[in-house]
Amino acid sequence: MSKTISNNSRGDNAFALVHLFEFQMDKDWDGSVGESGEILYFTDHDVFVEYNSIEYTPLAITFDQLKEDLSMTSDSINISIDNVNGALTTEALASEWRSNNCKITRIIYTPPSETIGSDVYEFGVSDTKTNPSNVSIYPKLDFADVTDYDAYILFKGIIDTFNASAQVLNGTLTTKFINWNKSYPIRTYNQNEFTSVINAISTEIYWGRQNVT
Amino acid sequence: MLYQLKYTGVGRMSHNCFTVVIQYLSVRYPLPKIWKDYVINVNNLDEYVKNEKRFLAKREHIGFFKSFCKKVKTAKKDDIVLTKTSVGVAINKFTYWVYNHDLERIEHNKLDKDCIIMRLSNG
Repeated sequence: MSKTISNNSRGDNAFALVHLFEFQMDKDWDGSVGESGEILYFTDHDVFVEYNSIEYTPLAITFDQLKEDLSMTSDSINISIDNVNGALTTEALASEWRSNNCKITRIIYTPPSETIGSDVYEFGVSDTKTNPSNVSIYPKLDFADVTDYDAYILFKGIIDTFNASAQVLNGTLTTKFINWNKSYPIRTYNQNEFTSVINAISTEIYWGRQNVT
Repeated sequence: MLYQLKYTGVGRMSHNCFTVVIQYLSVRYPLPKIWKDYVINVNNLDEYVKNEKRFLAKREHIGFFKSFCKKVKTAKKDDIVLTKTSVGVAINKFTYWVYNHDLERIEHNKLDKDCIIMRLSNG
């Protein structure tokens, strides 16, 4: 998956944009999220989205712009999700989200046109089959039926913090670079930090590290 | 968004949200054959459509599902979702689908605190 965008999603003036969100959570607190149901799949589309045989639930979900620069600070995204009357909080409190992986995938696609009777829908229709013998089909966008689309990972990182009210759950996502092991800073022997230097040396600690003798 | 919904499907007088849910469940789970004066027969659901207002006004749809379901707090797929005026089926713990009688199409809605969630005792 690359950021290369082909022309087929930008033909004419018709293309659409959808984001897919994946949040991993450790429901059984075993340190892994491999078990079924431990990944939440959401989309900011207005109907369900199926992509790679995974169904994404439509929720009101927004995120602010990505910041990318050369400084040592971690990139982060503030994300806001409809709490669905506290249902998401229940999920959050019943599991450990922090430090687990999250991913935002962006898909640019050309909605396929569709003809129903004499009506041509240039941007397609959401398939809502109301045939009583097959009523389980709620409106869904299945990318298996879309030929022209480009998908790439917009953001991949870890969940940092979150807080919630009954209406909305806010979270901060950071890149994995936040986990970089930063080395002990080079000493300047500045007089101002003399006290801290002394405190950094004790029977257990030597220059801020464990004193191994 | 760019998508438009189909307005095709079953006839208005043939189905309502209750009958659509019954038909959906009946092919997946065993349902009671009789409840009070009602005979639950998927081939003859027009009775419910004709008596829809009375059925809903008396909240009999809640009583009906209570007779063979247990009330739960969080939803999972295929749980029954009851509101004051409709019957739907849970898609997951956040959303459910329901047949919109007026627009003759299936829609999905968010679960909210007014929803009563029922789980089939054998589901």
